[in-house]
Amino acid sequence: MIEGLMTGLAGLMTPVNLGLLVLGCLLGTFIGMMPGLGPVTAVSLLIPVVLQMPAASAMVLLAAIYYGAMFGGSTASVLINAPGESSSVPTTFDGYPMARRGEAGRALALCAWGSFVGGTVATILLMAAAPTLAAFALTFHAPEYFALMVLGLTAVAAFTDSGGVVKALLMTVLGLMLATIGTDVADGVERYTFGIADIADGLSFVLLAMAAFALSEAILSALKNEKISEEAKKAARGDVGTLKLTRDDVKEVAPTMLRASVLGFIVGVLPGAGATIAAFMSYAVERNLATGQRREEFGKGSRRGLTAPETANNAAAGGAYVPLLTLGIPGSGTTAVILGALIALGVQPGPRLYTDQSEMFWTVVVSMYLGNLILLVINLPLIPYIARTLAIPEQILSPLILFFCLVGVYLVSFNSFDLWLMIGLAIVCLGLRLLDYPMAPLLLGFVLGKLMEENLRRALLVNDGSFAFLWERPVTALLLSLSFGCLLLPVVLRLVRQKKTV
Amino acid sequence: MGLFALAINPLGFVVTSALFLIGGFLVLGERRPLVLACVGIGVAVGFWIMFTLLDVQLDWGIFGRALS
Repeated sequence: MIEGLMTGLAGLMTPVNLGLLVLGCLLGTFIGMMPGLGPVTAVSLLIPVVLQMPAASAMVLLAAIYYGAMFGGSTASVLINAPGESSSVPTTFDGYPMARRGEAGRALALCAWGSFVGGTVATILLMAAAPTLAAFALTFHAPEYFALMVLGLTAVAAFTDSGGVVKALLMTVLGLMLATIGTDVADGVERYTFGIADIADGLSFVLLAMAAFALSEAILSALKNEKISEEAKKAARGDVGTLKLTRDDVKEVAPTMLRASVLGFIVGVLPGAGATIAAFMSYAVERNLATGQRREEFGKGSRRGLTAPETANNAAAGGAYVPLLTLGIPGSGTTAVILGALIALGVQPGPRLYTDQSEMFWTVVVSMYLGNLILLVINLPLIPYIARTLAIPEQILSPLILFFCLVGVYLVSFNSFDLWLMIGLAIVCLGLRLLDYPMAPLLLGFVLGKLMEENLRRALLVNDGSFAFLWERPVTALLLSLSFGCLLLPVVLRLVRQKKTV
Repeated sequence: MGLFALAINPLGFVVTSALFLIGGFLVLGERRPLVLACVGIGVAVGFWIMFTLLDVQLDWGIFGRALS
């Protein structure tokens, strides 16, 4: 492990990679701070740029953007009560009341330290868990991979944020359907191309990610065209108070940080659960553990209530990298986008990544840790200045984001057909979002669809076209049973809840 | 956005981008001429410079052909 860490450090310590790390953290914080824009949008926006880079540098930048955007989201939650994404919602419960008391700086410092501890613990646990999981996954063959991907997709639907399991499953199926567009690799038959040459190679992942997240989000905010709030104007003046923590603060939140880190990591590793569930769970755990006066403070500016979700969502972000790097299965919307980027860069995530491209694996791990350090050392003192961007009027910001999306897709292919396709898809995605359909399962279905089909066909080829491997191979059967369990779980939970209310 | 897709081939990257941005700002209610011109043209030209430095040749459309 130490040898791996040294390899990672050596890989990262190039001026270009270090520069990208700092730039990614700052850019991520900036994008994440914009109300409505979260890590998924930040990462999607940068994909066209990273596709021009070497794989290791691209991953360093994406990891930095991911962490930066999470930190930026917390900043907007604390300063203006506008969480960039769902995992930052619990941060507003106590962060915003603290800011209103004039302790915005202290709240932001608690967030930054929480994120740092969460990220550090998650990185250590990732280093411990990933090699073991990768070694086990090396025994997997095509049938096991197919079953694993089925499990990933069903678990994501079952643990979906909004609770709409049927909607999430429908979006997964839509993603799988979109993945079948293009020329079939095995038989050379064109599927659902309607004779259009531009989609003979299938839909581009960048295009779908932009349409589903960045562009539909930008259209939505352009349609709302909200005026800047008084809080945003105040925050933009850089009036956040002291950024220092007292000894009492540290004593109060240290146990919370450790508990939330471990909980967040475990929840993050589970496919589909992700940062939002981790943040809400750790907030609930801390409130239940608190007694008397401390418990009453929750919701009114409790330091523990602020630190717990902040630590947990960062630890979950680290945890989500475990299945991504070792199994090639993304655990969240953001990691699905990162997986797509990896595949586009020609890197196949999975257990072989750890054995065959260990330098890249360790570079990513070390960059995650250093990214958290940079957030604490560079971003935190810069917050009063970065917060000034909150005052950029919506009428300037929305066209800029729309422009970045259009340019991003155009620069990948220099084909105006792709622009039309993205606009069409974004309008469909916008409609689906307004009807409360989650976008992450769509992208997961799309990314995993191709891999799933590939593995299923390979398994069928080896087994002479027989489906018996689904129940004859123990690991495959176990994984498929778990998938079935994931589908049944929401139904069982609903029945139990109904019985309780009766 | 549709107009951007229509205009990018004939008008080229820089002109289309500047027009798209200025149009977008106007539609959403920005009326200060200096802001419209500086941000719109500034971002479009800034992107062109950045990509030219990265060795990515962006098309100038009819303007490029007229100049050459």
